[in-house]
Amino acid sequence: MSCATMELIMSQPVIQVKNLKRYFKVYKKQPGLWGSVKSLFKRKYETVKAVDDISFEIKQGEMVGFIGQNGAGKTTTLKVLSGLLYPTEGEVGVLDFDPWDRKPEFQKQFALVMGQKNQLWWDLPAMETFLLNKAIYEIPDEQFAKTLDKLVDLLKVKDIINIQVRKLSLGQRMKCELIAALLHNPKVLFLDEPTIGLDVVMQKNLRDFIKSYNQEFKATIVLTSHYMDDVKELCERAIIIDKGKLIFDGKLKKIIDKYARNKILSLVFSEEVSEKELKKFGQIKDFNQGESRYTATLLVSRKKAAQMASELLKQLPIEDLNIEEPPIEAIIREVFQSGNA
Amino acid sequence: MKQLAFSFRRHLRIYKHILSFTAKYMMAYRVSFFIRSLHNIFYVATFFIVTLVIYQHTSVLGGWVKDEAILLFSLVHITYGIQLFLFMRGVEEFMRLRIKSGDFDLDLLKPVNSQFMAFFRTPWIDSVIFTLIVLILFIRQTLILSHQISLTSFISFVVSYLLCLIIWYLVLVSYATVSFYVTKSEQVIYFIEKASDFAQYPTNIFPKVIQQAFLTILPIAFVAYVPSSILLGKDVQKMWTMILIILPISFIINKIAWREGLKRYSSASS
Amino acid sequence: MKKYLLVIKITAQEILQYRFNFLIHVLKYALSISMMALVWLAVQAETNIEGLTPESTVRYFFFAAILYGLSNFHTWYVEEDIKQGRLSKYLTKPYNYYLFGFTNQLTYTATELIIKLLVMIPLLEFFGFNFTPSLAQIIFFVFYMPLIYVFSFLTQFTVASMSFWLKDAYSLRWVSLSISRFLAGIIIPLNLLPEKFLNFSFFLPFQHLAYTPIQVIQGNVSLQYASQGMLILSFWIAIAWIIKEKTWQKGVHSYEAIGI
Repeated sequence: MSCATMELIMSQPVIQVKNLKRYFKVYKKQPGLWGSVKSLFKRKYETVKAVDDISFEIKQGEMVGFIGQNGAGKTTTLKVLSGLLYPTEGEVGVLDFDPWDRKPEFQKQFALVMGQKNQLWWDLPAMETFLLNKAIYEIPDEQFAKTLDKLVDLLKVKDIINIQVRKLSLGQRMKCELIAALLHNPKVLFLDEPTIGLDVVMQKNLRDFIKSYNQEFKATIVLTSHYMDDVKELCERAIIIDKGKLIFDGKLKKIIDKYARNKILSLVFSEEVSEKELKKFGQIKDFNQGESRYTATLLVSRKKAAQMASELLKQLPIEDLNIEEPPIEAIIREVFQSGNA
Repeated sequence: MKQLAFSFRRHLRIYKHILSFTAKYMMAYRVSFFIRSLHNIFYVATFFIVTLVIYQHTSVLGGWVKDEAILLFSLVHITYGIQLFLFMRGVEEFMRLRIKSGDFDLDLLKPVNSQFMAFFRTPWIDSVIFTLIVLILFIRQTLILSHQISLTSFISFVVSYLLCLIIWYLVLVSYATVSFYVTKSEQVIYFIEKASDFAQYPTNIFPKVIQQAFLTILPIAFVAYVPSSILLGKDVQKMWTMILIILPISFIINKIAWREGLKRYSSASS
Repeated sequence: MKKYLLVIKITAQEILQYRFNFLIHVLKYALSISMMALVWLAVQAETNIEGLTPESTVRYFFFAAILYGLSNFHTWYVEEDIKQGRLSKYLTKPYNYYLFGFTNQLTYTATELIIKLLVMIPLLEFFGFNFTPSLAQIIFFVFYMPLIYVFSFLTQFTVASMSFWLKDAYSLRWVSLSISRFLAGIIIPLNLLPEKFLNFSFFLPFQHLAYTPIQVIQGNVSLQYASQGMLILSFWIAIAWIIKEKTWQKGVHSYEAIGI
């Protein structure tokens, strides 16, 4: 096969979504015992538009981050791409398959890892689940051994794969979950909140692993997360979904540069300071000069955050200073308020 | 046909794995295994005592003498043991837990038959001991009644028993699909289990309307009454007719119910 | 006290929320026990049984079906709370875990009882098996109910508490329920068993969980017999209470709070 042909294949989208809509009918109950009794006779239903007309394409080897608040439609989109949910309207193609058909040939080429659900059998060592998946995905012995060794090495879990899953910590379990999901070398990997509930060290470990997996196997990875760091470190491209609508699709750098204009400085002072003095440095979000504690929160332009921090430390009696990114929800809110990029 | 055979072999290999680690798990918790086996034996023993007490007061019930009734009793509990071993726990977990929690998603993602993954994932090995005990009882009763049983009727019985087991599975799973529509509905399966307690009595002792129900909408007669009747030469033609009618109907209902249920599941889960 | 009343309110809402499941649960036992009447009617069609007429058989199993809910319930959540470490969140709060379970289960049991009474008594009338018990018989029958429930909950709770030490209290519970059901006369009227057995089991609590109150309402035993039965059951409640307290205290002491 020539390089041009290879390039052509690689530039073909592996995931195609056109005008996808996914609506749910939910019933609203009034609170309390009387509400429960009333609902016996009459129920009010409403339509929730979990995904409301989104379209995008993802090429092979891309790592794309889905960003959005709770209930934005991220997980619903992933479930449609995995064939778990049927679209209300629209077209979806993954690896040239219709996910809803759930053909074994398709299922052997992708994996879905959900941070809040696990496929490992609780009372057994993770190794037993790996062997079961080997049988399910019909992985040849040699390939299984090779892939397992590689994954176990990358995630450094050699000592724990023969311990009962219920005795493992959350981080260890998550690592084993990933291995179970990747034994069959999926070409497409959907990760739904993979680092949820993990400590910062474990989050970093997992991110490093996902990056190496992408580089080594050229897998296409779609990731949803509430943690901005997950998306920042792993994905060049981000898709922002809010209330079921796609409001941004592009390079991550563009969002941060364009929309995350500020950084948050949290300050603790050793003595009282005046609000007027503080105003020079940035926009005051919170100012508390109480009896025993003097604190304030400032919004400062991203580019000048380090410089402002330095000036504050020089000029004001600061006991403690913390620089943070604005929460993802704030950035998304800004993105949404500004309209489509 | 070839593909079907290949798929069957593949599922068999996967099932071997499931059996193997379930056995390992059971051996790791031996005490629990024996206590649970004991509880099954107790449960069955209480029903056995009922049969014995009944036959203290009468020598025949619905045309079935004591030895025939004990044979029927033992076959019911062999089926009970087999269903527990193969799929009953899976059905119960499916209805009680996996649909509600969304863990059923994980079954749907795998390249295997979704019913297989949903129901055959948790063999209940605890049922082995009491199943063996009732099997011994069944063999004993067969020997006692051997004058009534020919080779033909025995072969006929084996075939009919397997078909009845399939009917029973198809019907149970069809009922289990109610979970796709109602959030909490595991009591439906417990209801059927409780109803199947009456499979140990000859179906013909019940009023006609209940007999019809036990042969159709709640086919507990197929648990043991139908194959036992074939074994003992009672109403053989009628029994085979019922099997040949109910088997395809239950197969079709199962297929439709599962397919529609899956569609409904996907439309409800988020 | 207010918090336990709230438990009743919330449980009632839960029942309404999952009413389909609950109704099937009620139907399951009501039907299966009532249908034992059909089995015994079939036996009586073959031969006469002393002490049993078709009418008394049907009434017996109908009342057994009504009373069974008072002694048949599952305290599996106690096992799960202990095994999964969820007990921690209850032990750190200012309320009594036992009372919480008691009121929660009471709501289910009482609702089930009301449904059964509303449906099954008219059914008895409809099928022509009506009868007229005296006021005293009704009062005794009704007074048996709370005793049956309290004893059953105490024993099931105590057996479930074995989860502090056993991995599988679940099976112990099932065994105890199977024994209790048999000895209570739910599946066989106890007067069909040898008289020696009946006399001996009079001093045990099980007979009074169903057989004695059913015989009371049918007028087959004297009110004196009924009072004695209540006293014996009350005695066993006291014993069960002491055992439960000791078991629970020891269990909480040894609780390791492992889990997720």
